[in-house]
Amino acid sequence: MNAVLESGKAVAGAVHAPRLRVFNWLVRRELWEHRGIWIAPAICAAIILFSSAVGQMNLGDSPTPHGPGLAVNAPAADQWAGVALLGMAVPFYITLLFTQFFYALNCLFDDRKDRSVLFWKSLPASDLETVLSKVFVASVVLPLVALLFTVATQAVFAVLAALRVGEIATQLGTAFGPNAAAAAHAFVGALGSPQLWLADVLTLLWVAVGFALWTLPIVGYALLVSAATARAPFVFAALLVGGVGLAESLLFNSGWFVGQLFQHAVGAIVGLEHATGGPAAVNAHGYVPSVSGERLLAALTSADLWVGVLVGLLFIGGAVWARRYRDENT
Amino acid sequence: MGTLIEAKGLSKSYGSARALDDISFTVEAGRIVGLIGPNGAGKTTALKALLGLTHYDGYLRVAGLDPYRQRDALMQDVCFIADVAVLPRWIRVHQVVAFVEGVHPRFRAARCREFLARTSIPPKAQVKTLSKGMVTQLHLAIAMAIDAKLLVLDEPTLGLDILARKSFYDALINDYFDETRTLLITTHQVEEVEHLLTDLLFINRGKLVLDTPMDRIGERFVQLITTADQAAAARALGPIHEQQALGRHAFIFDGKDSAALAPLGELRTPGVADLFVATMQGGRQ
Repeated sequence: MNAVLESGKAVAGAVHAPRLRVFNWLVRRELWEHRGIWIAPAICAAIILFSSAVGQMNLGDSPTPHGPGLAVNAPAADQWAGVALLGMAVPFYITLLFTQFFYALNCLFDDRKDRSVLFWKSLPASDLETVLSKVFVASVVLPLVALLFTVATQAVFAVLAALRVGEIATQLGTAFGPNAAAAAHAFVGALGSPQLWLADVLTLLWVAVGFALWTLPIVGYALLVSAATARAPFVFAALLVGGVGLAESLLFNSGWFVGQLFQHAVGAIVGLEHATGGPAAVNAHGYVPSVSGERLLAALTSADLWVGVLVGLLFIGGAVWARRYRDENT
Repeated sequence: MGTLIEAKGLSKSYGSARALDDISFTVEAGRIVGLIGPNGAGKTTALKALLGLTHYDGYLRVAGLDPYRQRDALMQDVCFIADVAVLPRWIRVHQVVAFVEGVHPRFRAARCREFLARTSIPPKAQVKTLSKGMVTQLHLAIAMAIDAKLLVLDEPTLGLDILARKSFYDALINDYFDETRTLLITTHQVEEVEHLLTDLLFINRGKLVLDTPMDRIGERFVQLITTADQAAAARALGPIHEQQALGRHAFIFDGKDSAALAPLGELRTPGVADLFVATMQGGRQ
């Protein structure tokens, strides 16, 4: 890159910054501007950790007298540990659904509202590059941030559980009998398995990819509204979607559109289930081998997924066009 | 150096309103051009066309490029300050400098930081915490550190107090302008740019009403200051503008021989502000 820069300085004629470097700065700018990218998952992590800590403390106060007792064997502890970890991911991805949508909905509108678009447009970064940097943040950076926060939260949870396992086992033992105490030890032991963590991270990576693909039409739609609307992108986006849904139900008495929307929003989170093969797979095979190439491939061949990706790309193309050619009457 | 801007029959309509009506002009490299007109005259529309921000009819080339179709290439060569308030409010001073350095191959960050060091702008401050004058200084420091063929300034001092306006233009002339640069400035405050322009373009209701180098104004226009008893004689010679104040009459003539006017009173070259009033109001009388 240095060589390019040096020659760029020497030759006064056609000078271009390396496009990858421009893209890198465009993405960095987004991270400066949108602090919510970090704040939302941080709040989510704090709530999960706080409530699990409180939950652990309250175990001993359970009013239930000696229960039937829990029979726990090693594979079951593995399953529980895996499901407990993955369960922690769900709030992060629900949060992500909102942060991603509102990020995309505002990122091409805010700078038009305060007219700083005229500053960005005075610099040699094309509108295509600008819009793609926002797609990258919405569909790559945000899911990866959710992944990082999820794994960090899981790790803190595991450490807290390990530190307090003796205390909790004693409380459980008092409340539910010695089997329950053994179960607590087995559960925490399973949390220390490297195999479990490898599978967990691979699953979450898969979820991030699935999330990005399922939500691409939603991101594209939000970007298009953001780039094209004269005011109030949320109101416009919501009215348009509501209008189309209502028109379909009145004219054709069907709910295909709303169903698709729901599938793409929730499908992103249900990607969790796709990846793990659902509860049935957990019960049959235990948790660890559940991320199989076969199952991932099956999820990736869903026609609905790829039609959605295509629609998303068309929306993104529309957003680039609007960003480039919309005449800002300011 | 050659021609930097070439416009032929440039037109733009918003509905039935003609924002630009068949405008033709050229700007040579190395000039400082004032595009001057009252509010709503079409100045901003003309700039938006030059910068590829709006569609237009007619022929237009800036630095040899079609601004609307070759906008991305154009922004390598052309820099603009749209007006004082367009720097994003959330960004920090050091961030905006780093960002422009990252994306603009002609930006010299060291030079920009040198300009900023002379101001009282704190490098870590957010734009929204700066005064209007500081935001303008910051934007100018960025623009002046870009080796652009053309710098376009659209009402750059709007809303600034007189000290800030003066220091803005001082910095522009002393630290930026040399014979390799070309500047295009729009304003409706004629007086503050009068002494730095090399060329004038007057625009009114979408039409170009005057296109002249500053040093040719004296050859074409003359202002006659005379008394009331000579006023009728002066009026008979067809002035484009007449003004009365404190018992004196001031007439502006376009293309009249000074010899015919000299006996009637005192002759001088009209100022840009007088010329502006004359050409903008002339048609209404």
